[in-house]
Amino acid sequence: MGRKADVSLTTTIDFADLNRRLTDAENKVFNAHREGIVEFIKGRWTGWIYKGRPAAADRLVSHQAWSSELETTENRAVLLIFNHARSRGKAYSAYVHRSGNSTLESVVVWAEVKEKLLPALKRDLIAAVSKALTTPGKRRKLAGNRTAARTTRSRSL
Amino acid sequence: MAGVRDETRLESIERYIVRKHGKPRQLTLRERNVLDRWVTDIIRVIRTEWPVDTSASRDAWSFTTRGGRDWIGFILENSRDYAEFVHYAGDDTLLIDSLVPDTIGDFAPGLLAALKAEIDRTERDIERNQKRGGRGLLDLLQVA
Repeated sequence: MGRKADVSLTTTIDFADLNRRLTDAENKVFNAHREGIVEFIKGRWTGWIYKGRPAAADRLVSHQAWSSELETTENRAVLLIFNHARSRGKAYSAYVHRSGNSTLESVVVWAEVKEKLLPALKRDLIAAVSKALTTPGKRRKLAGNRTAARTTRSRSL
Repeated sequence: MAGVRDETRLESIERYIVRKHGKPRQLTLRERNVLDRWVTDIIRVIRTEWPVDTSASRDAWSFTTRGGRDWIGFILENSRDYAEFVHYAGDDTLLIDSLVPDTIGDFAPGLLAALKAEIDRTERDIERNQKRGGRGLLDLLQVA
């Protein structure tokens, strides 16, 4: 058991003709949906029986572990939803299922996300991209000159 | 490669571990989880307070935590090549010199206290484990 027991769900939206990264406004749309999807999943990921777990053991560990990342390139945007919960150092979220149901809960929940939430994400994102293509760009004033080196800060606490 | 890298080393925690354990050691999984949760909250606040019209740089904040025996702390990074120049409208103060360190400072007391409490728990568990004939820290490193 290791990474295979982690949940990792992805959806990709292609913008083959865009030839640029998403704008701030488009990223904002994507991120609003991303957060909504995580909250939706968390809302579904409750009501567990915790069969076999000691009464004093932590609850809702995998519930809290739902997270997401967004990766955008010139031609596509990839939404990654994942769960890397650990129990005694071992991944397990991919094996979670409801009592009396052999279907993995991550499969059930993701099917619901695809049906109910992804169409709205794609619709809103396409609308934002279409709007950006017809709207003149804004100039953004930056302080100082750009340098190639990464700016670092450090401290000790 | 531009962008921002902000390192916070928790030397007070490293000294605390030496005091409690007798020598430096790495963080256990439970202690790392405590650190991760607090740094997650720090990043969340930075993202919330970051200017909305630069959402690409706002969303580019990420973090790494380290729990090695010779360096305990966390690193915040932002890969956007203008992130280091972002400031609030009408105020030239760079947010990497205000919002970021201020947020870390706000969370520092709670983070350090929570981590020390977890270290105390670990040290008690190590002692109990050794009394039962266990390997002490080695048996507890990966316990969640």
